[in-house]
Amino acid sequence: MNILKAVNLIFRYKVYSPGQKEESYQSALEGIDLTINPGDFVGILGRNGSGKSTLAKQLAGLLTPTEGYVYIDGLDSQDSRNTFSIRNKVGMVFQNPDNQIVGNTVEEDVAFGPENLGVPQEELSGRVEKALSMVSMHGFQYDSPGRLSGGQKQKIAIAGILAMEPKCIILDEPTAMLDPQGRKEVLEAVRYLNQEKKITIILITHRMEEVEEAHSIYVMKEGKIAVHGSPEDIWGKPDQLEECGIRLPFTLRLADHLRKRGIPVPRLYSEQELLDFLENQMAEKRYQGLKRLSELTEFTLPEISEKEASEEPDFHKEVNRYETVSEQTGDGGQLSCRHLSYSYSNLKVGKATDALQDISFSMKKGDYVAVVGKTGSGKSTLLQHLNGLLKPDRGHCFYDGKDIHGTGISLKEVRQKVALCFQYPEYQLFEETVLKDICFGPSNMGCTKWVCLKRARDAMELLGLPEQMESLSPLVLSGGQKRKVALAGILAMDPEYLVLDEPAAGMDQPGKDNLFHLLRELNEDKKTGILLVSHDMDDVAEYANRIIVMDHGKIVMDGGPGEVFAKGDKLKELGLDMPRALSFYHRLRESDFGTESSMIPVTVAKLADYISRVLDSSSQEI
Amino acid sequence: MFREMTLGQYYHRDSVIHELDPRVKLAGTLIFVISLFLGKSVPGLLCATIFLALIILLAGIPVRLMVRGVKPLLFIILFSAFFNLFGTEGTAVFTIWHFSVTREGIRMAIFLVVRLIYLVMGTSIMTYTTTPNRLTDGLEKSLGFLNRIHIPVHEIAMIMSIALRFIPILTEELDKIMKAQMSRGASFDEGNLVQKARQIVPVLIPLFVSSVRRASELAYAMEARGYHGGSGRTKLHPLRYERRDYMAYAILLLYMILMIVLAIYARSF
Repeated sequence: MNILKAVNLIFRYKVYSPGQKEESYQSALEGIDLTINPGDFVGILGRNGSGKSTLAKQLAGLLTPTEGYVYIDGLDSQDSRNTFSIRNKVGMVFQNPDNQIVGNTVEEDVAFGPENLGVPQEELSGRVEKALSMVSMHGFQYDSPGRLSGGQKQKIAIAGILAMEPKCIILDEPTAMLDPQGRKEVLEAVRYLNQEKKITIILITHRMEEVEEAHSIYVMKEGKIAVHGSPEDIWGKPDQLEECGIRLPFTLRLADHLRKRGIPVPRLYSEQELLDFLENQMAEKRYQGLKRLSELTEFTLPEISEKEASEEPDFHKEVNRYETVSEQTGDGGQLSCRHLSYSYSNLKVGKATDALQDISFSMKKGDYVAVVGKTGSGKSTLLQHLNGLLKPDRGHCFYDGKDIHGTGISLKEVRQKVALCFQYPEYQLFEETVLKDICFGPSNMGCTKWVCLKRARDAMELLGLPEQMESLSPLVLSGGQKRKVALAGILAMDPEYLVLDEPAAGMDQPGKDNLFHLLRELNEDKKTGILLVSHDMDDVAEYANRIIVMDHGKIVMDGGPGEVFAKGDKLKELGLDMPRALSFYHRLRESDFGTESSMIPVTVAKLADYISRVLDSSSQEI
Repeated sequence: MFREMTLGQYYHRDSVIHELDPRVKLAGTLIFVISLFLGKSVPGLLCATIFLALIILLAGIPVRLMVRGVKPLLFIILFSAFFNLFGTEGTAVFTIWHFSVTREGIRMAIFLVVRLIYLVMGTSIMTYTTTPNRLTDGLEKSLGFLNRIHIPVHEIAMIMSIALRFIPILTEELDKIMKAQMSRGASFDEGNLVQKARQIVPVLIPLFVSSVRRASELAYAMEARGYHGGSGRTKLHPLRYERRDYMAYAILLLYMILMIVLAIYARSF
């Protein structure tokens, strides 16, 4: 007996548009068939707006089909008599942890579900305790949810569902708003529930690596299921996945790069398999090399060493450049901080918490800097100092050699030159039309109407927003479009520096690629200085040419990607990840593979270069 | 900007007053307020003073906290005292121009000041010793009789408790939106009243939109967890009277009787 079953499920919802009298319908799901068996771990992937969340709500019985059927443990979701028993069988966890916690204490929140089901009072506290220990949140009963981290909040939300003792839990992008630590915690909890407690799990996400262990995967596109099968099946169809906007897992991307460099990698799925394959290749190449050596009488010197030597200074040069830069004081169009300290006063506790301690750094136009660090390490606080939103307790921020809180420059001018883009910038849209909203920034900066309009239109073009969108209300746009409009509003101020707080948060892969492409373009063509906060080390490795690592309000490392990532142990100590390519490189190095590269490969492409080079040289070296 | 804001005035202590059932504390506050209106004599006021002092002592609330609670109302209190001082007829003590300060006036003014201060202190003890949730629970339970005249008491209590939960979230969001708009060159402290009102729009609209979005998500989350109103619901910590609550009721009753007796027999002191 299956636990969830959808038969030709179609869902349309009404759209109300002002000025239009006729009702129009928007189709969200178009003929979905799926069957999920008890105990399964199912992944649902797809781009933003592909219908994933709507499907989740259908499967949880929160929405009912327009056409077709959904059966939950055999119960028809359209029969209102079943509603209550359905709630008992399927639980749902949502994306934003803040918006699903009802209780003012953890205990109260976890008890909310069973209270609604009318579970006898004697049983309630037992259920709460059990649910909390299942997500390893025991001992937090009396805490206020507001004091917990994102990952902890999400685990409380899961516990709140567990306390209802459901057979199946649907999680709708539960990790989208979390930092890597929180993501790990939540995924561990979910895995444990599936493997040890035999609870059916449906995990919706746009991150492939989260469902690598799933029993089956559904990939959605435009309200339909585009690909379905086991992870191995699915990864065998890279073209189809790309069409659906899904990025392949790291191993497959690397294999792809290797094939392009002429290394015949067969279909592989796990990192271990790829490692084994490469080792075998190495052994074979060495053997061939030996054979050739016995055939040849003359010994040829490997040419490759010269090539490697020429690449060697690459990142050293980069590092040296920044070292000299950071020694200068703020002058010459630079953005810099000298001995910055800041603390948040806390009235209730009566003492201040240090958010920044003695921060000094500088950057100039054309730089692309990534700031990394755990949540709470002071990254966002630092960002808010750069355009004068926060005033340092001690120390100074300089723009172009002028203290931004001094008399030489107005804060407004600073904010025009150094534009700050907050996390989820789409939530600050407010005007009636897209064009007006984009003009808000420049017109505040005192630009004439004509200049405002010109800049707004330029920014829209840069972001690929169509002209017809100008007169639409920003509120009717999709999430991705809203973010673009918000970004356009910031770019329209024509800043010299762009400071961004996790600009890619919650975006799907194509959206992310787009955004980073745009930032690189601005960086290279207009020499806009970019400083961004990110949790994704792969992105950082790919795009930034300088990395600042923060911990407990201090800068602990500052240098080129090669230099920073070379200190992998230190990063681990700080609770940060390494780029996937680099950790694969380290695993390769641990095994009997090749010589140390002078240039540490931090991106997939560079790793593939390194591997092919080593393989080539090894057959000649001996 | 708003990061420092703390919600409510709850002051955590392990005291007998903190542990009392919120319904007892609600009743106690009501009785104390009524008793202040009865105690228009020196013995009556003395009795109320002792009662209040004992409660503050038992609750372990620092005196400076109690005083701080009175400060914002000090002006109103002194203002009404001033009118009493001059506006009461009786034996004149001294006269300034046309107005005379009477012996009765002085007495009235002193009584009024003391009673108003006690009133503020008495009610703030309630908020100092009860978490907002317990207070909501207490209100829901003690006003349960209103259900009969079709006032949805459970729903109102639910709204209150959700509001409490979301106030810190929305304050944080407000702070963020203000900063985001400031980064786009908005300012919130320039110009006259009309201009200032207009400057709020870029903050209010996103905040409103976000609240609606949060509300709709919360509604789904609550529905997914089987919420369907108050009927058939059980409670993790139902309000249940214990021995100390009955004793507290008894003490309250005694105090009330004492105050009534004093009001009748000691009026002239």
